[in-house]
Amino acid sequence: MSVVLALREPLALQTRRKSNILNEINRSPCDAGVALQIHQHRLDYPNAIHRPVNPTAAYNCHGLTFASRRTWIHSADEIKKILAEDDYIKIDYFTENILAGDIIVYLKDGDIEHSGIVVEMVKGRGPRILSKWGKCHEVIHFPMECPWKDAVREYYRITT
Amino acid sequence: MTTTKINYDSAVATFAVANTPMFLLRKLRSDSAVERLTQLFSTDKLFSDLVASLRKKPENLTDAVEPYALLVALSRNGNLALLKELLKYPAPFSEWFSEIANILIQTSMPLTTTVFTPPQYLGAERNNFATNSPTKSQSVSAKLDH
Repeated sequence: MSVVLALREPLALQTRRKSNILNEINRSPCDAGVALQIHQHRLDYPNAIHRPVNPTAAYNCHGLTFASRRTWIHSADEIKKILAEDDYIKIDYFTENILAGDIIVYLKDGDIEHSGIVVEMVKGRGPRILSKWGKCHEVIHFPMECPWKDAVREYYRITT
Repeated sequence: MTTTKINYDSAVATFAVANTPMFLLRKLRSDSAVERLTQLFSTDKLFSDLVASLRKKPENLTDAVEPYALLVALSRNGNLALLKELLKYPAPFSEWFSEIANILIQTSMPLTTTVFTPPQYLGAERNNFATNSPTKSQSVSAKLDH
């Protein structure tokens, strides 16, 4: 049996407390030129690890961080809902140890512009983050080594 | 010159990495392409080119970001009625268009001049205030531009 998939549609996605999370998977091919942007990122951030992931609008950073790369979540309200209802606790960067598996979110003017997953703590350098850059590729980078470096950074962890 | 001749390179770079409409809007507000559009083109031209760009299926990232850049440029004249009018147009290829337009409507203030006439002669002449009104008021203009 074959399944017909719409080019754009929401997935059934809920928090631990069963609140629906607004999202949309976009299976359309990416706009021409995204590959050029990825090439430019490789030049602009030569010390980051640029994963061989093709351009896609199927998922964004929040979809990677909070929905296993399945979909695109664009609303800050949805991310705040996930942080609250999935029992994340905020970690103080200066007084607590950031660990692999923790979450980073980038905030600016009430928006959560970017997020990622801590994959490594590098002595003297800080956490390395795995994140997806919009429609572009996945990058492993230090917190300031990305286009969202002017945002405020917060770290979260699930402990239960 | 037409609005399509503007260099959209930095706006394109922003659009490619935008995870949220708010990020796209924040970056476009300070983008050089938007600045040029505002300087070079009339409101009527921006409006007509924006309506045309909404109908056109994007062939590349420049086409995709153009409606948003034109929208932000158009919002700078403070004409809320024009922004509300734009919401009537379908935007089949610009998924964040109505959300960004609504944010601009909610956060923009019309560019109007409000004249305040502060009371004078308070203090020493307070007793005479009721009968000794100032003959020459000092006006303060406040430009509301958010």
